[in-house]
Amino acid sequence: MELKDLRDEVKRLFKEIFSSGVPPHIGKLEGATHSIGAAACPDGTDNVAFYAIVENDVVEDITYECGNCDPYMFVAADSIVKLSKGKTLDEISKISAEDVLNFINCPDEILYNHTTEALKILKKMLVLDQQGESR
Amino acid sequence: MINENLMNSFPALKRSRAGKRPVYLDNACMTLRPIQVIRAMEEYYTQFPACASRSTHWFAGEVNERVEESYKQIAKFTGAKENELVFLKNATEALNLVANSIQKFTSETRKIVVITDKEHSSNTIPWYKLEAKGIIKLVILETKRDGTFDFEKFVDFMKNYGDKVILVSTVWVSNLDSVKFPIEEIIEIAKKYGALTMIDAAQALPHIPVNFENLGADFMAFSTHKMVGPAGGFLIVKEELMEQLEQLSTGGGTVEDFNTKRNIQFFKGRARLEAGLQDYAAIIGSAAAANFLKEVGLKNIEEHEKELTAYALELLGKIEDIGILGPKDPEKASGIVTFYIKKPAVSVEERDVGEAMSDKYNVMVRTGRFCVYNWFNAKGFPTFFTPIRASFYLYNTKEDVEVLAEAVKEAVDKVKWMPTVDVNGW
Repeated sequence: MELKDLRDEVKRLFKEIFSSGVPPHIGKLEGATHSIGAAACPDGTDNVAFYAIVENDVVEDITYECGNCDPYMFVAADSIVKLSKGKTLDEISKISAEDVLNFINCPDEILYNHTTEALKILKKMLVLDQQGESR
Repeated sequence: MINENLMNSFPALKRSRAGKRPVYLDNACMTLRPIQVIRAMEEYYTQFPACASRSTHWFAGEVNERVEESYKQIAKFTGAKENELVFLKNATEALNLVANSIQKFTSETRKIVVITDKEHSSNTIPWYKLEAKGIIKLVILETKRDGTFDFEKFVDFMKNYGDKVILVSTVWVSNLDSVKFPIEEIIEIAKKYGALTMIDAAQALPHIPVNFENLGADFMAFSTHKMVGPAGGFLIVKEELMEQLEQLSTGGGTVEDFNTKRNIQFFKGRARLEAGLQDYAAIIGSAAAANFLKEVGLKNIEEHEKELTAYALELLGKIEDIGILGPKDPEKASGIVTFYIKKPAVSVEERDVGEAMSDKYNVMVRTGRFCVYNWFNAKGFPTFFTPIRASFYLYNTKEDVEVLAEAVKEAVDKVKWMPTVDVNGW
């Protein structure tokens, strides 16, 4: 993937994340009831971690960390976290990569793949199987 | 001043890729080997590839002689006694050997082990495991934000708890940023309170003059592959403590005799701790490495690295959006320059900025956290920054530093469009 292939729209979304410094939803979450860190890409280079506080099956707060990630994974993880906060586990289990891309209005194939991988990790953290049942 | 002929002794540096030579800056991980070391090992395999300390034939006699002579030479190089050396896989194994034996030294009133938050995982995880089993109480001293040892904090701690400390185990020269801990002062304080001391000298021994006897430590670990030698390592143990070490493995070569009544007569000294047939080529190669470094001169290596470090700091200092970890003073830290690009994502074209620098410039550095996770976590270093470590050695040149700077500048230019991030002053 060449730098010129990075869509302007993805660049804009990435820059927006850091427009006021590092946002509060990046970093470890104190008092997290759930956490997971895993390599998010097939070649194992993006390292995404999610942290969440879940009470009564509602995600009260959620953050992420990205290590050695490219801008796509930042945009994916950031969007997922924004979409997930305040939702029930049942609602999150039904979120698809298309939903996330619609949320940020950025239908990009590479972003779609990154979002799919990041969602898998998030759902694993929240112990949501494919049928959307919380265990 | 390094003799150029010695610098030309390294076959790997004669390679070329896309018309460019190697710029090998990953010496803190593993150093290149000179032809003298390669030939010494080759001689073992081609001339007398037999067992030592067992057989009495022609080849065995030659191996015995060479191996014994090798231990003598390594002892001389390290300022230790010959019977204080134990040959192992690496410094990790050496550190583990002491950790594995710590129960032989602890008592009800003395079971605190002191390390710092800047230790390599090999001088951290073994202690975590022992603490989890209740065998020791572990105290992790926080180092300063600039990576230097907090001596006042250490003295204060020892004043209050020194009589409960069984071992102070610290790195001497950090593999993160080459900061030198005040090791002689640390040992002096530890001794004052009756504590044993262990030094992780993996990054010290290859780069600065070291004398184990003069230091007064009880244990010292180092790796031979970080000192132009073959893969391997040594633990240096004070003579009077050797018999208290617990074997990591046992069996062949460690026993003088045993019977069906389960009576075992172990050998004394290192034989008890060096189980099985040893890597004799590596022992012989390690001695050749020690002799090579003696000929180059450790003082010359130290001065050479100071110059390269100063030059690297100068060139990297001119590149925008670069943060340097550790003190920017080659007197306090030389040989390693670790830095990061102050952008949240530095991998765009290639997956890892180190890979990108290697692909285009043949610049070989290390990226990540260098097995010093505690320090990065303790200091709140953002996970989205990728530390890049350039570690120099006797065969690196100012030209290597210039190519490094060029590669870094290009990496920064690629991500110029990204916002510069400043997190808690990082």
